[in-house]
Amino acid sequence: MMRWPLRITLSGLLVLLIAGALLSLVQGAMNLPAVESLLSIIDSIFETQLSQLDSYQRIVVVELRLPRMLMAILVGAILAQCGAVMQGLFRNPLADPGIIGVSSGAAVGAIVAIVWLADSLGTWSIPMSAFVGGLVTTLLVYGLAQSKNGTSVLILLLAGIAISAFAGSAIGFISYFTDDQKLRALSLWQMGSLTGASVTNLAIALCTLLALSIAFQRQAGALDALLIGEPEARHLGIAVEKLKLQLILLTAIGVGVAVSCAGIIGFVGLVVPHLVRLTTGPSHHSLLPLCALCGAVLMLIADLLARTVVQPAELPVGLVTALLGAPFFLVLLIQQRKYWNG
Amino acid sequence: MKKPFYHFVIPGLLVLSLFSFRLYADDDPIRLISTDAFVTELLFSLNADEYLVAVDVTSKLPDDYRPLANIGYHRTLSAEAILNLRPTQVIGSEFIGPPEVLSVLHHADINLIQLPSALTAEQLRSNITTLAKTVSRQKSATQLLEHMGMQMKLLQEKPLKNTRMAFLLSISPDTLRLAGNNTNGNAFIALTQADNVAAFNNYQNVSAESLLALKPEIIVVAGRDPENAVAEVLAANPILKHTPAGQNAQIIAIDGNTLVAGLSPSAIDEALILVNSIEARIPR
Repeated sequence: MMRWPLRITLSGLLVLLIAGALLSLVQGAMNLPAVESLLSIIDSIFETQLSQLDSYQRIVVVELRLPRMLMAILVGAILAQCGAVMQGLFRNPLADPGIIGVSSGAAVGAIVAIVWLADSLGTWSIPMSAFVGGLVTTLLVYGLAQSKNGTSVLILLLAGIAISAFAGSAIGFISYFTDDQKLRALSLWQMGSLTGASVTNLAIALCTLLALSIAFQRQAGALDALLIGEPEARHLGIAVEKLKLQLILLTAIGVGVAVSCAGIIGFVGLVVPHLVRLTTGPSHHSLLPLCALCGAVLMLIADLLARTVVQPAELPVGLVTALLGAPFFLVLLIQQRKYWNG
Repeated sequence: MKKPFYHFVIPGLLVLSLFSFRLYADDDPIRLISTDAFVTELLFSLNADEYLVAVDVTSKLPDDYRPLANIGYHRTLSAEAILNLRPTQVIGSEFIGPPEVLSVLHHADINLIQLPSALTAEQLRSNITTLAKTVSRQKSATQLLEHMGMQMKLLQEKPLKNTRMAFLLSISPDTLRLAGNNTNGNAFIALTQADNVAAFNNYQNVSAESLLALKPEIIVVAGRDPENAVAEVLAANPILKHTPAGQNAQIIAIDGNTLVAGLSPSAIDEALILVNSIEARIPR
């Protein structure tokens, strides 16, 4: 199979990331001069007076576009890496970060917060409740898959599907009996949005991304070994049980943070790892950082489109990720078709 | 030969553009964004629609109205897009959001006015008064409130007290979506002073059988197509003919558009039409 050299993919993605980030900062509903917009960010960091923009125009760049751009990068990078790890752990190309029940649990948490907790914790009630819901569901799924022979990946997968179905019907029940306003709030939350980016949740997302990237990278060799098979990995001296628990917990935390910052964002975690594998190969040492970059680029472009395509209105970013990524993925698949056998 | 031409044109254009800027700056002080259908409707009733620069996706504008920017759904507004439209006021319901956008509007000194969507005639009156003050249309408001007062008086003269009424939202004929408490439908029933047969909250889908058991004496069908709504509902649920309302031909359609975002002046007109038509059918 023909693959792109690592260096080309890496530099290509970096160029795309920087271009996307700059474009995100200078494009939007408001038509602002690009150079002035970028200068206003330098102003806000170094307290200089280089930019000629009015104060409300600075707000647009510094308080609206910049946090969203950063959040898009962080969420995309977290979700794509978690997806790669889950596909590696489950040795299943259809695994996505939600497979251990974290997304559906988070959705239940969010609807509980929307319907019953809305006023008790203020703006933090939905993210907190979503995070707790996601983590509890993952622990439940993990607990169900325990036996005296260790954790069964098959049971983990099936339990995840069953719990997701259960969560789906719980959401259905609650939303059936709630009023239209709350129903709308939930359905919008499920489409994802980066509007809520603030200093606090950007800091949380950044710490999560750094911690996950380091922890995942340290297990990259073990994940590669796991590709041959679980018993084989065990014979190679890898503590498979410990590895599973660690990776599942880290993924649950990563996806939980991403979901509570931005709602449900589909597709990034499922397809970005495939995109990277198709272009540069399956070794987790290169796969994980490239996935982070590629996920960030996809989210950046998706959010840029979400903000600008129907302006002055705005699309939910979760709708755009799939719209954007799916055709690209299909083209890659078709290109690779000649290498398939049987 | 070209040069003298430009000598005239460029200064001329400059003067013109300055002039138009002056005109614009002086004569158009109010720039409104309405983020809810009921706000847009009230602005039209108050003849203040000329100030609108943008509306939300639910707002209904008259056919061949001047093109207005559409700012999308009121819960997912874009702060940047709103700032770009340079509004003086943003008017919407209590559900306008997300909160981050509201705080940006606050920092940008844009006046945000949140009116609760009206489920009572009192709330409707207070919304009209607040809006009229914002757009300096007190005179139109007085006329509108006087008209409303007269309609309400007529309604009170013909109360449907102790009458069991069911309010169906006709989305599709075979779905019976019954209005419970805290709904526009319930607010409409309250205008006629009838009793709502449903005891639950919000709109709920009910079976024809349970509607039969509730024994409504009047069934109101609110839909987009009032002319065919009753026939469609009866065709899909023939058993409703056996309700008291069906037996006395008291299944009546109203124009659902008047109730999309709570009570409106036209919903009160609609209630009066309903009460009159019931009186015409059974002299009481």
